[in-house]
This record gives sequence, C-alpha cells and structure tokens, in this order.
Amino acid sequence: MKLEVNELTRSFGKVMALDHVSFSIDSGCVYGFIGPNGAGKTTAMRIIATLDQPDSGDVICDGFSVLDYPERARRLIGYMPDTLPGSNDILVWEYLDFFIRCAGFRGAARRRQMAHIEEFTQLGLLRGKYLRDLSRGMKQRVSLARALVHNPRILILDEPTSGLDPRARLELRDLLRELAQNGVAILISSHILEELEGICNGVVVLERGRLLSAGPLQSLRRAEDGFIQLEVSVDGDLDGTGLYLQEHPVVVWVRHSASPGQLVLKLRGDSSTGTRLMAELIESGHRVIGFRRIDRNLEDLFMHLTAGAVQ
Amino acid sequence: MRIATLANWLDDCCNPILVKELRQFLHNRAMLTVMGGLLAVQLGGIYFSLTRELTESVSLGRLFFQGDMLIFASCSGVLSFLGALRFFRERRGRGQGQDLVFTTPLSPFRLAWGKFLSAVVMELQIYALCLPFMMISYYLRGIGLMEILLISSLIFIYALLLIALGLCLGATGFRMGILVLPGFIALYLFWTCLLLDGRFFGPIFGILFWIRGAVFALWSCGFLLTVLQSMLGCSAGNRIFVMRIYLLLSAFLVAPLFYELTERVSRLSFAGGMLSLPSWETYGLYATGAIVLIAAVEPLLPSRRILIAAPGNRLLRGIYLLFSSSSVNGLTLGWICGLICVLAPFASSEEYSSQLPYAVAGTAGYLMGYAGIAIFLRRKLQRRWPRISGFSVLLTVFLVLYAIPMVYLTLYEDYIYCSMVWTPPWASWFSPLALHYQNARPGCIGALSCALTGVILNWPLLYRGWRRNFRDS
Repeated sequence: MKLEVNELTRSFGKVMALDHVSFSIDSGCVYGFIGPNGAGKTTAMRIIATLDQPDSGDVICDGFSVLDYPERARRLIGYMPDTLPGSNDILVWEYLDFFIRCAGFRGAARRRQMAHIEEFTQLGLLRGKYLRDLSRGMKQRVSLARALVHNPRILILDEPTSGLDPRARLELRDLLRELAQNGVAILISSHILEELEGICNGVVVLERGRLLSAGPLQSLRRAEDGFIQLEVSVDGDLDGTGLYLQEHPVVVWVRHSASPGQLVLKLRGDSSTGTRLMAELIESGHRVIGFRRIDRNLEDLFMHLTAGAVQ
Repeated sequence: MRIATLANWLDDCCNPILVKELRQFLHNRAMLTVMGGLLAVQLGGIYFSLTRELTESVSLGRLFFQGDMLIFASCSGVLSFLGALRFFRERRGRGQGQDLVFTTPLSPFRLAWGKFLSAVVMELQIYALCLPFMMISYYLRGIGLMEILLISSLIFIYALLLIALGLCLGATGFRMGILVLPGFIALYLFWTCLLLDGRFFGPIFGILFWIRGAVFALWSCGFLLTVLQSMLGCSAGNRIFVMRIYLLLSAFLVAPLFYELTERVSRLSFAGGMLSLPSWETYGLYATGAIVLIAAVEPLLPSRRILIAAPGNRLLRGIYLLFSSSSVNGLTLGWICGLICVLAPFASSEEYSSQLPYAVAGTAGYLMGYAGIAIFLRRKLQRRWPRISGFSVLLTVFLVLYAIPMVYLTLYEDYIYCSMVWTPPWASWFSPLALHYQNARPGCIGALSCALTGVILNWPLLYRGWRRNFRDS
C-alpha cells in the first residue's frame, strides 16, 4: 500500500495553494505534514480525501488515481478534518452507524464493526450522547472513530490533536502507533512539532504551496547541508577545550550545554569528521570523557527548512 | 424470529442518508416545534371557522381546504429552500459546512436518492399532518372528496419536483443556483393558487390536462435526479449514462405509450390529432435536443476510465460509448436519434396531418447546431482560457442566436403580426422562431444548415473521437 502525490497543483483565484507538490508515503509509515498557516496542508489533504479536485497532478492510492477512481480510493482512505462538521442533532452511535452503513457493512457485520470501533477508540461511554453536547476533545475522538469505520489503509489526519488534553494526546499517539504497526500509512498535520516528533518517522514540509522537503526524518536530518552537531563531555578545563574547538577550522560554533561539564558544537562535515576532531582533541591533552552526535529535532529542522525558503 | 430477520433485512436495505436524516429529524427540537406549530395553526383555524358566523357559508369547506393547502405549499417551499441551501453548503463547504458523506464509498445514485428520499419523507410528514384537516374540510361542505384528493396530490407532486430542483441547484455549488430558487418557489405557490381556484377545472383545463401535468412533473423529477446523480459522480466516470438511458427510454417508449393510453382512456382521440408515430417522433426529438445540449457541456472526449471499462467487442463497444460521457459521443448519439426520428415518417404508411412534428424536427436541428457551435467555440476558447466552462459558452451561443433575434423581432418587427405573413424575416433564420411562420420551409432549411454547420465545425474532433473510441478495443 502506497500513497503517492504527484505534481499536485491547486489555485484559488490568483493564490497558488499548491504548486507542483510531490511526495509518497509507504504502508506503516507515519508522516508529519508541517508548514506555517496557509501553506496548503489542508488543501492537499482535502484533495487526497477526494473532497477537492486539483488543477493538475494526481494522487495514487494503491495504484488507483483518486481522480479517476475516487470511489475505490475512498475505500482505502480515512480522512479526519480539523473540525467535526455539522450534524449536531444526532447521537454518537447513530453518527458512527451512518458511516458504517455508508462503508457497506450490513447486519451482524455492522454491529461487530461498531463494537470494534467503539472499543478501539474508547467511545463506549460517549455512545449515547449528542454530538452537540461533546467537548472539542471528545468530538476529535468521534471524528477519528469516523475516519476509521471502514478500516482504511491510508489515514489522513488534519490537526487531530487540537483541543485534546495531554492524556488524550498520549492515547492518540499510542493509537496511531498501533495503526502504523498494522500497516496503515498515516499523514498527520499539526503545529505542535514536538508531538509529531514522537510519532512520525517522516515529514513533508510545505510553505506557501511549495514543497520544501519530504522524506524519512532520519535521512532529512542526515542530509542536512553537510553540518553535524556534537555534545562533548569534558573533565576539567571546559573553557580551554571550548577555545581549542572554537579555533579549529571545521568548527562553526561552540556553546556551553545546559548540563554542567558539557559543550555543544556544530562542525562542517559528517560523522567521520567529528570522530577525527575528537581524536585530535584527546591527543592534544584535553580530557574528553564522552561525546555523542545530536540529531536536530523537528523544530530545528522546520525552522531551518522554512527560513526564507520561499520568497 | 422471522419478523426480526425481515426487520434487519429492511434496515440494511434502507438508504443510509435516509436513516440518518430521519434520526436527526426526530432529535431536532426546532423541527418538532414547527410541526407542533403547524398543527396548532390548523386546529386554531378549525376553531375559528366553527365559532363564527362563517359556519353559515356553503363554501366554508373550500375556504378551509384552500388555507390548509396554502400552508402545506408554503412549508414545502421552505423545506425545499432549506434543503437546497444545506446541500449547497455541504458541496461547497469547508470546516463546519462540509459533509463527510462525500468521503465515503456511497455511490452517487444512493447519495442522490438518499437526499431526495429524506426530503420526501419530511414532505410526507407535513402532508400527513395536513391530511386530517383536508378531510374535515370535506365535512364543512363546498368541496368534493375527489377534488380534495386530486388537488392535494397534484400540489404534493409539484412539491416533489421543487425538492428535486432545489437539490439540483444546491448541488451545482453556484450561488446563482440558490438565488434563483425562490423564483421557482414563487412559481410553485402561484401554480398552487391556480390549482386551488376551482375555475381551472373547467372545459379548457380538463382533468386530463392536470393528470398529464402531474406525470410530466414526475418525469421531470426523475430527470432532475439523474442530473443530480451525474453532478455527484466522478468526472472521469461515465456519469451521463443513466441520464441518457432515462431520456431515451422515457422519450421513445414511456411518453408515447402514456400519451396514447390517456387519449384512449379519455376517448378524446380525434381525427387529425397526434397519432402514434408523430407523438413518438415528437418526444424522441425533444430527447435528442436535450442529449445534444447536455453533450455541449461534457468533456470533449471520453476519459481513459470509460475507454477501459468499455467492452472489447466492437459493436457492443460502439453502443456503450454512445452512452458515455463526452461531447463527441453525445453529439453522435443525438444525430443518430435525430435521423431516426426524421426519417421514420418516410418508412411509415401513416399520413401526417399535423405540422407539429416538422416544427419539432426543425427545433431539434437548431439545437443540434447550437450544441455543435458551442462545442467548437469551447475548443477554441479553452486553448486560451482553460477555465472557461462549456455551460457559459452554450449559454452565450443560445443568447446570441435565439434570445437576441427574439428581442429584435419583438421590438422592431411585431412578432405576432409577422408570424401571420408568408416569409420569415432574416433575424429569425438563426433560431427556431423561423419555424413559427406559415412557410416553414426557410426554417427547416435554416435548421438543417445549422445542424450541418455544427458537424462541419467539429469534424476533426468527431473523427479523432471515433478513432479513439475503437483504437484500444
């Protein structure tokens, strides 16, 4: 199962919401969809969910184009919008039952599916409540349950954690991990990058409709423009070691770490450059008791990628 | 046990949208309040009528019935408007307005029927609420039982048409669709008032007229549902298929049969009236006109998906593709149907005594020409402005070739007077107006020229389309 977005373009009047955006997500992968407000995330998600049509380009789900075969794609895709739309005069179980019916479940299979979804999303206690009486967090949970009613192989989640309390966020994270382990490809948009970092193994970064970067997190971090960061633990003269490193030609900058007796440095090169530098440091008499490579977090990566990338 | 099984089976068969809307309706306090209010108004009306000197009036029943039906018609108008508005919001909407039913695998057919049936069931509930009061009006004197049943059924049927129209206009997603709906609602209310005025059941508008009108309304309802279904369908799919089948079946088979049947039942058959072949030809040419006009707003060539789905056998493939969504195949089907209709009289021993089929054939010819010219212009214009829609081009062609001559004739040539004279003025040559004159020959020549112009202008496209139809078979 693979979701492929090919050269997607969509404009609203003179505003280019998506400009030849391409990326792909494999089965079992969780990709974060990040970008500032108005970057085109929701537009792209709506196109993938067959709610909108692109001006050009295509989205392929398991070999089927969502433009040519939307009904087949809808069987594979579960879409959770940022807000649970309309339909307030209805009970939670009735709402879910409607979508289970739409997915084609009949008789006993329908009841089984309802029980399964309620158990999986822990909605049992809310089933008799009206949608209008639910808090935002509860509505998000119902919305997720709705997206899962037909056992989709691709899940598109637009800001799923907005309005959720910390406990619900952790539960959602576990739930998504479980789904990914079952082979579901997940594309999830959020502004809370720390949260995404805990779940995602890949990211797609958009800004003003243009794709800045897409791929597995690990490779994005590694491929990041020929620089690495190291954390060095020193026993003794921390300032002297700092000065030595500062004057080294491959080092860009050196800072004191928040932890005592540690320095953080950025150097030009890759891991082997770092190892050679540490060897030189030890040979020159500095008492290095340990060092490790620091991967950039998602926030750094995002800031780095979006800083003036699109003018 | 069997009853439970049957109930489960029925539950499964129900359209999901109908089930959901009914559940929502039952939970909706506002709707229940409105229903209660409606009941109270009617009860109040009865009380008012019975406690005043109006009881002396012999037409109290009619008055009461008229009031009841006006309330029903007004509720139907409001219901159709709200339904259309909601559907419009769901189709266009983002956030709270959007309807996630469009992300489900529910087919366009079930979607269209679900929306329609939900509205019909609500309409039925209002109708059921009014029904006892209609019966009471019978006991209040002044109106017959048959009249009550006939008028109320007609108003109900026209309300169904209004609902279907509202859904179609809402589904377009254009604001204009919602803006024109109140006009149709006003027309419906006006029509209701005419119906409620008993004088219309006189010799001019006999009962047959109203029954035919009701059947036409039901046919239009079905047609609008096929339009709705095609609007909800995937643009790459064969979304025009059902509409074309519906048009052809109803025009070539059902409508003439119904017409003949009602003629015979009412024993109104008269010499020189429409015989079977002319009526068949007339309905067929109406369908042809509709097919070619719709073809003008479809994609120019059939999509890859349609070509893949078409059967491999060349004959079956050809027939299937005639019913597929594309301008090329729509125009071809229109020509085939048009030629069959026009040539049928030559193969028949029946003698024509009416000019109507000639006028209809001429009209169909003009419509085919308009469609052809619109397709040609769209091809040329879309090269420069890709976003220009087929509908806008068709509308422009229609306005330029039909509406402007019509206005010109009305203003400068005294249209009514001119229709009495032998030769039509030049301004009418580009439109079916030319057929209205006593000498219909210029009109027929104009129609044929117009239709041929449409074909000649699009010949490269038609040739390319036909080749493409069979290339991958």
